[in-house]
Amino acid sequence: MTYEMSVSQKKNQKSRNKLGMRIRENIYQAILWILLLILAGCMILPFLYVLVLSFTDPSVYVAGKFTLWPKKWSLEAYKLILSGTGFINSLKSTVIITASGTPLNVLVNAGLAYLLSKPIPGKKFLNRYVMLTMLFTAGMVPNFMNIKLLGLIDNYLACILPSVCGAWTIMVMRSFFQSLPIELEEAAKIDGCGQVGIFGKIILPLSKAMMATMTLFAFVSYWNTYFNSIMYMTSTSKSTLQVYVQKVVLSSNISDVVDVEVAVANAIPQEIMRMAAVVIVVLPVLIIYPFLQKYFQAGMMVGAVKG
Amino acid sequence: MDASMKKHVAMGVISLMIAGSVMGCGKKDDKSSAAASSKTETEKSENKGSKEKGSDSSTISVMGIDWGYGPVQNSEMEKYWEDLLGVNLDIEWINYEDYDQKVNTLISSGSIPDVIQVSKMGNGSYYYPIFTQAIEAGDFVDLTPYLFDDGKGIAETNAVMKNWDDKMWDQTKYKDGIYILPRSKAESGQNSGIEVRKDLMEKYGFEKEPATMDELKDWLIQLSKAASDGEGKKIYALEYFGDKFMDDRVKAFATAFTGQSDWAVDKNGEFQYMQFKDEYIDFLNWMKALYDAGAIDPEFALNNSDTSKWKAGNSVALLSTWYNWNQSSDRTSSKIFDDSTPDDYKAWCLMPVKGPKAYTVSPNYTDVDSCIAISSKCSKEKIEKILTAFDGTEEQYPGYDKVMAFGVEGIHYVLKDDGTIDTSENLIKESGQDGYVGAWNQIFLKKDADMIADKFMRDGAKRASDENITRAKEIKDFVYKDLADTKMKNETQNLQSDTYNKQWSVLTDDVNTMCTQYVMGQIDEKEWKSFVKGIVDSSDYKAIQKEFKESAEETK
Repeated sequence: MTYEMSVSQKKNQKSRNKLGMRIRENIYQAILWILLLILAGCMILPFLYVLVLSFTDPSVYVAGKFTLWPKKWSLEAYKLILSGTGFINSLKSTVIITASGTPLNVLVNAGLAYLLSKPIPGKKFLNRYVMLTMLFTAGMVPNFMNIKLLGLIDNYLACILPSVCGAWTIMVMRSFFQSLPIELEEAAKIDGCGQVGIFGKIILPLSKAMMATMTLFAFVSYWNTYFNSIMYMTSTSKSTLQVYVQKVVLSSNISDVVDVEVAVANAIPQEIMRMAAVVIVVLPVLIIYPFLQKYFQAGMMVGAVKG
Repeated sequence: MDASMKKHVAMGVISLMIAGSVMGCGKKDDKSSAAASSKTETEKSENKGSKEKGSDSSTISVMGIDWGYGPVQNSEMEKYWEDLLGVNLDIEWINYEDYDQKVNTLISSGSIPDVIQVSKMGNGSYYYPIFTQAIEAGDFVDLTPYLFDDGKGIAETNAVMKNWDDKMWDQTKYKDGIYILPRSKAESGQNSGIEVRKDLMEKYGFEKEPATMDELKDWLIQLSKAASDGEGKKIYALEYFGDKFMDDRVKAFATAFTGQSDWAVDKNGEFQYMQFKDEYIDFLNWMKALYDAGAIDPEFALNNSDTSKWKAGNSVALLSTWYNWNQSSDRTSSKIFDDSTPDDYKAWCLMPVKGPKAYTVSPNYTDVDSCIAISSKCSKEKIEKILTAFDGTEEQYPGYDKVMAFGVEGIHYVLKDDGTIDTSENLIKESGQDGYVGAWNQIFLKKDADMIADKFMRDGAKRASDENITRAKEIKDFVYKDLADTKMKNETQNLQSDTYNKQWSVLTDDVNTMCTQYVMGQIDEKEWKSFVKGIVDSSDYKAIQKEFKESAEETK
């Protein structure tokens, strides 16, 4: 009897333990969900605020007030930004710089990174030389003089070339290339493939995830070109979208800045203008991101394993 | 590479860097002679070029500040000026937020265009360190011989400039030379206007205006309370915000307590900064009283200009320029408040009130409204061409003042039958945007500022009420008389101090924070005084005082 009871007691105990574990697991999951929802909210709400405010009619705008839905819809801010005479020109400039700079950036960095992943003479020196550029920068004045001496003032190349080669990108790519099995290259060599062929037909296809990630970074970087445009572009028609949007946003505040008899007046508060500008500028990146997301997720851990 | 080799390489690199830095530091004489010789060479090549080509010497490259929509190159406005003045302008407009960075980079890299617009630095000075270094290196023209030439100089013959007195020209000097060419003379004592909501005054029985700082404090607190209770929403007494405690929004109040502007010379001949004077605590106590009464936003240190309570109608008063309350008499044609506010909000301005030491009249750092500088790479002929082109007047070109103010009729505005200006058509708006009139009047000479005529007495519906015009004139007369009587000014105007340029921001890094904390009751008077004593007794502050004194002696 005692033996049977102890067995059944043990069974009950086990099932109680299992139930307890399930309950604890569920509570744990629930807490996790709540925390993640709060975190998601913290991330989504600011962007929602930006979006809502950008579509808010100026007549119902109350400074500093947060709403989840516009009280009254309006596209005035967007109309003002998009209808400006400089919008098409600045969009064209940004597209030229981004479309040219992004593939150039990725190819140049990938090429150098691949070279540095190979056992070449002077590799250590080259690695350190590249890393040194992460620590030091020449500064604004030498950079400007450099661009001027190259005759690139008011040239799109002034916005493209300075950002073509990036030490961090090279380091990450190099780590990834080093993690690829050497046997693949050896097999390709045996089949008569040259170095360029190996790089183009074997290495690059295997590196899609990493390349997509770096492409996205380069795209965002070139799309956001602002400072180089201010410094090196002298023609208004060649300034980038960021510069144009900044001008429009600043113009909303003009009465606070200068006293002018003829104000090219607009009644849209600067806050709404800013939000509309943010949405316009961020939109292309938001559009491209879903197409690269699968590669981005895979590329997140690029270079993390092997240093 | 073994450890010993690494050490040798490291030493080698360090030595190279030190050698490079040392080589980069040339002698002053070498630099100026280098600049002078490069100027001579440039002059020679320019003369040679102009002889050979016969066309390019009339092209003037200009860099100007874009304050608004961003005037485009080769706009109708630019063409108009080129035709009128007979020059070819190659203008680059940079928006005001980036202008300083770009122009300073160009100055440092020796790539200055023929004419640059000089912007005021944070402390209101045109002669900021990079600019003065460039002047010392000979990069900018001393305009004195062109301006004053035995009755034949431009300053002596130009219809606008000849009205400027010595006090105005003294403000343009740097070590006996004039390197900045003013574009107009600003209204004096700009930030001395205590703008208030007249509709609230009338509604809650506060029409009797305060005459002293104590009365102003009580008046603001009581009106704020009455308005908050009556309107059913919080209406603060004073629009005040920002982490920079001491700015134009309260400076005139501080002046009333301290009797000085930013810097003044005390009875011992020492330069003293306003915030470190003993009387400044009285101003802080005045602000603290407003804070303790809930009359200013408890989070004033976190707010920014995008959440203007005054414009939203949530503040009784705002200390601003004495002419910025130019509400039209119908209150809608020229609206001071946000569009979302009711049309019955009335803007008004109190007369300056009396504090223990002075009235709430804050002198400008400088009366020079805007100015340009000319590169020394220009030949004498080109400089004269620039001075002629950029210093036009109504007398020389009839209609000039109107173009400077409104643009070109038919392109930037349409004249209605009643004589008023209409800019509502879309094409007109676009042209205005492209040519942006407000940018040109910062680089071309314009008549002295008359804000009452320009803002209050505009034609048509935008004209202010007669009552407001009268009040604006009263305030202007008062401000001008007070400044003439007290002779108050910022005593460090155009004085130079190396230690000030290098250390002032570090030395005063915590001052505004401490002021904020005092007003919020987080520190007491003892702590404040101890903090101030620490700064005043420091070697840097004493060095700054000494250098300003020496600089002042040099300019006498």
